[in-house]
Amino acid sequence: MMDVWALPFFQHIVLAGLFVAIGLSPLSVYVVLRRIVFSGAAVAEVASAAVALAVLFQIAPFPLALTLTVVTFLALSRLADTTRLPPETLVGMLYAGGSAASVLLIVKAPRGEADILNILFGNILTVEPSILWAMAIIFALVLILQIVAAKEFLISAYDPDMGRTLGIHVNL
Amino acid sequence: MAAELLKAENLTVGYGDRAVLHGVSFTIERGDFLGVMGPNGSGKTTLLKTFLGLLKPLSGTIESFSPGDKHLLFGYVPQRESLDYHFPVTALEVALMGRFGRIGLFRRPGAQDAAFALDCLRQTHMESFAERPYRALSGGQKQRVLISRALASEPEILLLDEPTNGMDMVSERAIMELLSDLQKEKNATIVFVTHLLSTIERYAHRAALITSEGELLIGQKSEIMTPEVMTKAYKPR
Repeated sequence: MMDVWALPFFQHIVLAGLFVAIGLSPLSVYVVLRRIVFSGAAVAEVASAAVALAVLFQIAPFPLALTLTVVTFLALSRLADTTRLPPETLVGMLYAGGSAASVLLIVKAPRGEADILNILFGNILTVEPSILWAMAIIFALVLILQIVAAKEFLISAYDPDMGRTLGIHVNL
Repeated sequence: MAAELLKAENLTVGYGDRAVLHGVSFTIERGDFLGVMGPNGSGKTTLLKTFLGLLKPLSGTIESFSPGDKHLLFGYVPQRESLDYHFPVTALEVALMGRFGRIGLFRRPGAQDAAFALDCLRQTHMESFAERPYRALSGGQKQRVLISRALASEPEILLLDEPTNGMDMVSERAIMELLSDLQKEKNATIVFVTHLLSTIERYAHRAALITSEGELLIGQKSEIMTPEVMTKAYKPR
């Protein structure tokens, strides 16, 4: 039987999976505590809508997707402080709105669905060493930030109102 | 005359554009033990959150006074149902959160902070539960831990949102006796929200009543807790 561990692409797959698990699993504790577990799905939908928009206007998709996603979630964070709606509702609205916008924009895009799907969905089988390095650096920074700012993460997720009364910045 | 800690003038509070309390003026002095009551949805918690700076007043001003022109330090005890019961923290770790504002950005709580938090648990008779998981405690014990957490921040005023909500009479009495002792021993300033008139009648020094019309009546219990005032406050809108 062929030793799959000797295959470089298989090693890359395992490393990529490990980086995601080690880098993101501690962060997921805070995501669950803040009751925004569907924010991952909502991020993907907003990014999809941004990519569809970029394809429609024939501009670079990555910078637009990154900018629009960050701006949308900063706006969501501000909105969460000024409304009595629970966070799950806001994330749900974003998810549905992002999905709807993606579909409408994809239909309008001249090169259609094929191009957009290629951009939106990567393939873990084709992860290259350069991507692995980027993942290692980004997830290491995420982990270090969580260790250094452990108490800020904890109070922001566990009891943000208490955090605010203590003078801690619980929002971005 | 006692020193003023909070002074509200012509204050209107609410969420978004919806005002729940209109044009109220009052002061809270050091050593005050004020109970706030009112019908459901009248704005008790909204008023508390405005005191804390979690909500901006829709109009009017709210000033706080602290020695040396520092920010007034609040000790906040939220409704205990608002916290996640399943998160694996001990009672001591919850109490330690009260120290976070004094530690500084990106610094970790030290042994002195842990000792201080333990002392706060001692004040609420929860020292022996320090290493127990918070989720394993009873409602009354959880409330004591949250009061310890508020005390750990060394506040100048304690604000409690429905501290005895959902408790039996024995637990309710124990919590209120604890607050009453803190007020007497330390001359602590305490403002608590409740829908139990009997709790205010028995423990508070002054009473505040939010009416269904969005007015705030505040004064001595004998002035506020009369049948006429109560009937007016609790009449359906």
